[in-house]
Amino acid sequence: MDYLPLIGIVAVIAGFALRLRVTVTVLAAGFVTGIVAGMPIVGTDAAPGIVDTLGRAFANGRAITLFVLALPAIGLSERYGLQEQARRVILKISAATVGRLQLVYQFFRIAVVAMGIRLGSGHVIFAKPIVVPMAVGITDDAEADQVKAASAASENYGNFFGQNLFFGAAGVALVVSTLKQNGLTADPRQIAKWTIPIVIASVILSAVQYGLLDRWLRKRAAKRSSGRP
Amino acid sequence: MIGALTSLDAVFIASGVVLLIFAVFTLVDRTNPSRVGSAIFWGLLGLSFALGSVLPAWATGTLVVSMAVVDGLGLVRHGVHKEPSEKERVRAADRFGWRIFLPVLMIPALTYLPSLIPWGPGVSGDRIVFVSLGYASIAAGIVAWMLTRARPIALVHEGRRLADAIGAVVILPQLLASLGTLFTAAGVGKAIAKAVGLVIPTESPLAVAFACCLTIAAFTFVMGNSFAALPVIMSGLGVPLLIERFHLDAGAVGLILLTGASCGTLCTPMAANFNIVPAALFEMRDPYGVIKFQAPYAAAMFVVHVALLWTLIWMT
Repeated sequence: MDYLPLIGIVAVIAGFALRLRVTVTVLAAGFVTGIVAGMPIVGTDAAPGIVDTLGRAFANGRAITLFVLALPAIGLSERYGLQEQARRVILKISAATVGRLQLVYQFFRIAVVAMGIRLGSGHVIFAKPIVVPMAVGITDDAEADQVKAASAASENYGNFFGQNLFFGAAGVALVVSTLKQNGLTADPRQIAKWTIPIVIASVILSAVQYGLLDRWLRKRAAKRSSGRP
Repeated sequence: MIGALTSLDAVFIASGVVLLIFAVFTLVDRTNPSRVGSAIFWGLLGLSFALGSVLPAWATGTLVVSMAVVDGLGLVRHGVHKEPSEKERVRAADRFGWRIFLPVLMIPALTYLPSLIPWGPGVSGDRIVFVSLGYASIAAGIVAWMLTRARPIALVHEGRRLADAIGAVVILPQLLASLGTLFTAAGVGKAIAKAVGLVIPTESPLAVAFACCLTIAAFTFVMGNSFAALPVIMSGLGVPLLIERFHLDAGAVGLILLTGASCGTLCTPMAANFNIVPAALFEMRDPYGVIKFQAPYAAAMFVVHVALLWTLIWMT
């Protein structure tokens, strides 16, 4: 029964399709997978069980959620005009559009990761306090989810497709170690150079998508202003 | 002493304390329709952070299951937080000007600076980054408080306002990473690679390039993590089908499959820290709004990866 573990995937898809709470879906998928794999509910060090594997992985993953420590500083700055100030700064640049702002941010993000600088979640430390209020300030259209979505996307695009430009990146190291397990060798510098065509393509496609977003926002703004008496 | 203060545990304990403070204030927040349930959730999360390194794994696991149950019962809700009025915001911006960026910009700056110091072997990169991030966040809070001359309690209120905006989604990144670990332990990856290996037409270079990219992207979609996908897909498909059969550069195949996997990451709610938490944090109406925006781009990038692999096969 080699394919039985795949039932966990079925559980995840079913959970999302039925719009169950994601936490519940994930937990159910975990238990189903563990049970069909013959894991006990609570195991020992020698034979790990479901609950202890979840707990160990959750504790080991705490760094992902470390951003909660930054929330008081960001929240207080927001309370005292951070978003308004971000709006003022961006409105001084008459050429600024949401799309161009996102492209500039993406270039910035690529430069940061290409130098091997890791800062935790860019969504929390750059996008939330700075990029999102600037983008919303340009459109003056807080209703447009797409403006905020683009601010998350530019962070992800820059981070995902740019990070392996740095030959010491975790992704490059993973490629090296994976190849080694398969009896192959490769030089990290040679691996990293394959990122160049990918990052170029990613920036071109971003420019296209942000251009389309700007066009959509212009049409939307025109419709809004003509709709008002 | 210095070692203890600069350990990951120190910043995890600090986060745990902050979360426990949030829990206490949630408990007395009369604007929250489910203040007890919400307080239990934040309290359990705080405990898992503060005690995660000393509790036995089954105990932390029990905390995790309890948090999911509390959320599953719909008991995690948020209070009503007073948003500053237009007038207040304009007045604050007039008063502080660009200085209000100071605390926020301190966080990346202070996170980066310690990584310039040669710490020597035995100090992991993770530890430098996250310990710096933790202390940078605390320092930024203190600077924001001194700059605005707000009451210290305002840090708690404003932090809790943002935490409430995120809600129970906050545990998803860790929870999904845990699910990935369970999947790996149960052999999910091997089963996928084996199933795909049976159906791939191995004669056509384009079909092989397409199938390898699609499998790793789909695998990443399910697991939410390209790093978990790469070792499985490389040994199952990349090495036998691309490197050995078509004699491609091994490093190129590895890297292209790795970023090809990111096309899956862009589309999946399982990568909650990249796609779901931002939607909550930016207060978007659609929790899947980020994914919907990214999906067409991911499809285009997917084509780029297939084309790149295909070109490599033609060139060798």
